[in-house]
Amino acid sequence: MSPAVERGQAITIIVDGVPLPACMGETIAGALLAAGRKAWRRTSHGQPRGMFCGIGLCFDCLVTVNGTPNVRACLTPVAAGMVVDTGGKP
Amino acid sequence: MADRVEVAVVGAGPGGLSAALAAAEAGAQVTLIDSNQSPGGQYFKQAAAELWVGNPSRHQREGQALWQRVMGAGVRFLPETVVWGTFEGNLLALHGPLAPSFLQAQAIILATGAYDRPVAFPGWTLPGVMTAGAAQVLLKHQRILPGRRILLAGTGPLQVVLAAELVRAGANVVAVLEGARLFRESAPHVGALWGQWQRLVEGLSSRLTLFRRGVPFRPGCCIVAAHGAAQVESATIARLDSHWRPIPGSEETLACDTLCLGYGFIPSNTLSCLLGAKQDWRPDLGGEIPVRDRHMQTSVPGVYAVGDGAGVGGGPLAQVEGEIAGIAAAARTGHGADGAEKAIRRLDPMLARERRFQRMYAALFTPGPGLYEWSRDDTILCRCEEVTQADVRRAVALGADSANEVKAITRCGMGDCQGRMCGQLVAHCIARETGRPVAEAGLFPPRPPIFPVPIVALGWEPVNGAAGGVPELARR
Amino acid sequence: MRNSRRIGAEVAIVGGGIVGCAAAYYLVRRGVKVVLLEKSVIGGEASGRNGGGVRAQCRDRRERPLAMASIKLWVGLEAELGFDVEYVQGGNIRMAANEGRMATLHREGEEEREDGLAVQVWDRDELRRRTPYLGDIFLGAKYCPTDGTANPLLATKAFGWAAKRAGATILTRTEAVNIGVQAGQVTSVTARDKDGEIVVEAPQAIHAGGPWTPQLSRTLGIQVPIEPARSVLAVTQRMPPLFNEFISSHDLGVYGRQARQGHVHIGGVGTPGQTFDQSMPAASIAHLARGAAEMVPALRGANFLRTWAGTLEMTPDKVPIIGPVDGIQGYLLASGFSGHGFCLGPIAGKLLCELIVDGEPSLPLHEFRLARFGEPAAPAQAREGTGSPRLRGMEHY
Repeated sequence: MSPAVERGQAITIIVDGVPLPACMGETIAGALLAAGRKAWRRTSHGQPRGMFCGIGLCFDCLVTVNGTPNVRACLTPVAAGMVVDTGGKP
Repeated sequence: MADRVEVAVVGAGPGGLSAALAAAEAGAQVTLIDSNQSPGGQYFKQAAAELWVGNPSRHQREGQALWQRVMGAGVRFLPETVVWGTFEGNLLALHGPLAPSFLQAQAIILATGAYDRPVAFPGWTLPGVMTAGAAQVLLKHQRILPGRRILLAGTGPLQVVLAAELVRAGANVVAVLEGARLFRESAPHVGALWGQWQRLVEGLSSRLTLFRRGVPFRPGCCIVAAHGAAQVESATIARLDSHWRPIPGSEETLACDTLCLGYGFIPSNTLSCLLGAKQDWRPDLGGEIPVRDRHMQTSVPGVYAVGDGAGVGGGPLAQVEGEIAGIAAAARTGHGADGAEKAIRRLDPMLARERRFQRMYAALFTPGPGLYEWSRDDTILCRCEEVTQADVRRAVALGADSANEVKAITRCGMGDCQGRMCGQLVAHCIARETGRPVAEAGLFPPRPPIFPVPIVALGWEPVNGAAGGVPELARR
Repeated sequence: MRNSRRIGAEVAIVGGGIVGCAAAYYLVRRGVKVVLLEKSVIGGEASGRNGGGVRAQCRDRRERPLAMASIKLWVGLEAELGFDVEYVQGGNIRMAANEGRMATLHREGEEEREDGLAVQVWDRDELRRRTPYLGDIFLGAKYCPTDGTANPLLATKAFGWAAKRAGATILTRTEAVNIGVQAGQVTSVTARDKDGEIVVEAPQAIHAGGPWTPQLSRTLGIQVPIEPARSVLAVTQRMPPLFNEFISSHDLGVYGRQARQGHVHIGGVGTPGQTFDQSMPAASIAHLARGAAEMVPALRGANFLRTWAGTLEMTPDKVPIIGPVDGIQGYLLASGFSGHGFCLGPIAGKLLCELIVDGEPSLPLHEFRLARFGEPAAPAQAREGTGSPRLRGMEHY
């Protein structure tokens, strides 16, 4: 990472029931990518998808957040204790 | 329920910021709308507020300065707000935490920008394949690297700059593939570089960084396929002929875990379409764009369009177009009409310079027709609905000759992205199958909402007959 | 203008919606030479834009036997047409949110059972038990287990493709502009496409032109009392599986179904205004959103992805006009399906075919005659020229 950067406050989010460390200021997609996860969604045909366009236009990165489906991970900032579900459809 | 404003500016990138500033400085009441939390768009993308960044880039500093001026001019800013539809009388429908449900503006300036061109080839839907814009956002906004072994494939200097930024941030960049075979084609356009000192410096210094770090820059090369079980593990690249068709026998495989595609941009013209603005098919400027006059006004009176959303041309062009539209829109609403023409004239030299650059860029870096032949029959064209090229061809064989009919049969374009990713890919496929021009195949007609909007945000109660109420609702 | 192109046929069909395409299909399967003229694309209008409900319940008594017969055709349609039209016999539920409507459902249910349609009326407790996904405001409902849903776009196109495969000539982007008659006998249908004029010489014409029927029938000197009306729909992004049935509430003014991939379609009941306009009013979007949230509370977590509108064809008694017209030999009207024609498409097509080939339909069509409207009313004010405004020169969604 760029040297002159202080990351945001360290927090934890829950992804598929498992705690994931993240930093304030990151999006859910960013946190997942930073943790080495490239894919976190399955299409209707079971194909893995992650981030493609990064700006909320392709809708590949969808996750369920705190029970609400169809949330774009690339646009949604993480918050402490956020519950993210990636499994199944949608 | 419906707010009124004199000038509504949609998009707070360089075009929108300049437009808002110019209109406000001329005395108009301005509301600026953007879907992000912070202004700047992609060009002036700032780091997230929660990160402390000791060395913002030149662009980020420029963006911040412009923003200060915009705020100082009394512009009302609606962040995290999406314009999802337009209704009779240029009424804008909004969804956002601070936004009214409807905004009635006397003049609307669309500065909606552009998005990375999706390019289809075998394996492009594998996790790890992303646009150059996605990598930019991760880097600039969150200071996160998109992967460990990064291959960039695209065209134009932007990806060179991105590659250098990635390298400086500690990334391992495997190579940068440039589709154009530059040296043969550049000579006539050298003149357009006059005055573009910052761009030249940025471009050269990026090339130097890559050179020093041993990152190969390969003109006339493209990505042919991405491979991997559940994510990208390697990529096949090849050399291109002058039509951008891969040369058989020139393939090589490179190990990588991330592929950044930077093949230009597609203008976001959806709102201008919804408003009824006449469109033009300009592949050299990214695709379908609204027709405009010298004041950046579209065919719909009171609706202006500036920046990449009206024809890809970069940040500085967006800024000067924005300024022109801002002056014109303010004049239209009765502010500064006297000096308007003169003020606009004064911008002519800068406009001309940026247009020259835009033309040069288009001449050098518009992908050749071969780009649309990198996909195979089993390649997905519509990512959302997983519709393959074979499906599209089958629909055409059944008699569909337009994007809309192919959509009805295959579902492509019905997905969440509403055809933004696949629109041009499908149009080119139809054109190839029918032997007719791409413009005839058409693109998917936009319908409201142009972005998904929560049902709970849409159930407003009708306003009966009140002055200033939303006309349609009042008729209930 | 270039020289007219002339095509000979036994039957010219005006209209490529489900009725026209079904008629073409059944006719061509019985060896009849058919030319179908469609002004935009197959299924480009109401047949492709509707809510996808295939129901026999909740109909005017006159329509009921046709609807029940049509359902039998729907059940076998995939096999017949060789194409999956996503037909699901998941049932249809008409809910009541007040006692008045509950009483209506009871009465209607009795009549339907008399006619052989096995509907059930559920009280509040039974409704809660069977359909926990529905909102609390409903007092009860009438349920028809043999009703269902299908994909409107695919069903119409499937009929069109099957007709074409079997030998029908289908001309799209070809608008019929005149029906030629001599001495009280149909002789031709004249149409225009981008290259000029086409004349289909045929002694029989089926006019299944939807809301555009009256303007063409005037060229025959016939007034057809059909008015256009706008119908509005919205669709959500994919949702987890919520319900299988086609549900509707006239009290809330909305209906809904969940399609194969989880998208929930919500449509508006009632017809806001006599118009060909297919733009989507803001008020309609609000109406659909409010109705959806109350009808199925789980949709409060859903987003609307897209909306669209279509044009219905309303008769004065909301029952279609099917059959011959006095004084003109060879002219069959099949229009005015008044917002509930999707289910009837297959049977209407079959009956029209039987009329032509057998001289008699297998179900009586007397109730659907044009003459039931008596003296034609004065023609309404001048219509727009050739159809409704289009977005970007293209069609529907």
